[in-house]
Amino acid sequence: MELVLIGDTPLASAAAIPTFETGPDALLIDAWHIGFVCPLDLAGMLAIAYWASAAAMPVTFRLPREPNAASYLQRMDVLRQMPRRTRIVGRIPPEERANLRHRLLEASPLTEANVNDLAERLGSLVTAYYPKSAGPAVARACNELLDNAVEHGASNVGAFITAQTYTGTTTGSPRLELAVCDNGIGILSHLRQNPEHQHLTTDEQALKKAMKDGITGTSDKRGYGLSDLIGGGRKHGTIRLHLRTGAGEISVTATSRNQSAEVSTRRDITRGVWAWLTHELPAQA
Amino acid sequence: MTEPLVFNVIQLGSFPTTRSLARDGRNSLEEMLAGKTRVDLTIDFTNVKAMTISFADEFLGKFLSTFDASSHEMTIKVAGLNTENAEAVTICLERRETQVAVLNEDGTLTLVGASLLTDTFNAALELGEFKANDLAKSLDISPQNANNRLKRLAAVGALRKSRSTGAAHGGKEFSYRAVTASVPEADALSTDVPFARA
Repeated sequence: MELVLIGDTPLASAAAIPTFETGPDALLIDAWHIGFVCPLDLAGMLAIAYWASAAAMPVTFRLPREPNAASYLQRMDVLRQMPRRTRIVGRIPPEERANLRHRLLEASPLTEANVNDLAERLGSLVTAYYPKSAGPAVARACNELLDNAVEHGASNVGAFITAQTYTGTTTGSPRLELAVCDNGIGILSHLRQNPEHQHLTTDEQALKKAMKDGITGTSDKRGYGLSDLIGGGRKHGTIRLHLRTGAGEISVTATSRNQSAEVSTRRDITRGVWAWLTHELPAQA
Repeated sequence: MTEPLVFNVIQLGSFPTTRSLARDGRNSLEEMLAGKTRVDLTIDFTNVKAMTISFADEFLGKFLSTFDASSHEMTIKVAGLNTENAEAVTICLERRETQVAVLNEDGTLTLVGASLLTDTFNAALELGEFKANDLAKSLDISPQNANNRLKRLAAVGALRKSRSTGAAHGGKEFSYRAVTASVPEADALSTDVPFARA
């Protein structure tokens, strides 16, 4: 089976995740026609590759034709983080590694063992990028996403994280992007662990429910992670959170004045949860 | 005699994030307090840049909800909160319907969290050492109501509850004193269990 990635931000926009139910096979991730890639594309590629690898499928990764795109994947450690024995097709660009710790977080597995180190790194990146007043609030929002992923998205298949700040040259406006893609049980199964939410039957219902305060799959008095995430980000600009799980997707956009959420049904199935957070400061900041 | 102790949260990181880290930190704090009485505990967030509300809840919210400071004649206060961390603490304590005394940058003390007992705490600060009847008079409430409020504040260490000497008719009588604003110098501490990250 093939995952064909074409154009700009393919996994974040149009590309459908292949279905693996057809039995043991092989996975080709074809990035030949890829253009601009965002953190969700990077973390998503790795999540899919590891899912296939865990199902004993050989993985082949076809590098982009465009040298800059291939170099970017190299710089963001996507090639290094691919599952062992992944066959890389194409010319592997040389590793030219400037220290950009203040601007990006390379693609990395997210585990219980390294989550706190990654949170420290992400926190430093965010507070270095933002003005003093906004930095801690946005860092707090980002790190709520990390806690959520390790608390609820743990699996032996792996979760992946990557983040970057943009000056606006390539993206149109300065912003922060963070993606966390896990291969855990997903939001519906997680919520259904709590007897109060066993009536939920669809991913779309579960996504809507998960955005409300106090909704948790645990028996503890919690379940505020996602709303705290939105609350931290919206105080200082515009926060957008896209969550995919199973056949469902929710897109939340919030500023200090407004919040809107749109739930939709996808034509593909996302294992676990894919989260993509973007944050922009108001224009005058 | 009371013993001053400080738990420095910065040992858990500049951006403490996860519930699992918070559980480890809480265990470390409880280990530091094990077997001790009459402690003046300061939970110091100085240099912590931004903690998640999940961390604040699992570390501080659960500690205050499960640890009975009054049975150890202990006071608890939180210090060193920046604006963002103060918000995280307030939100998690309001959700847990509990509170804690916070030492502000200007040296004043405020009760943060569920706001029902704010007036009681402020009255306690003014009264110095006092008995339940003194508070009842000060707030113009019944002695039973005063006792109930004091019990809740003592449980979270916002004031120390001590058995009063010379209780009338040999019965039980307690005196109270609000947590103090003083924080000991780091090198004056007798105990500070270093946190070892798992």
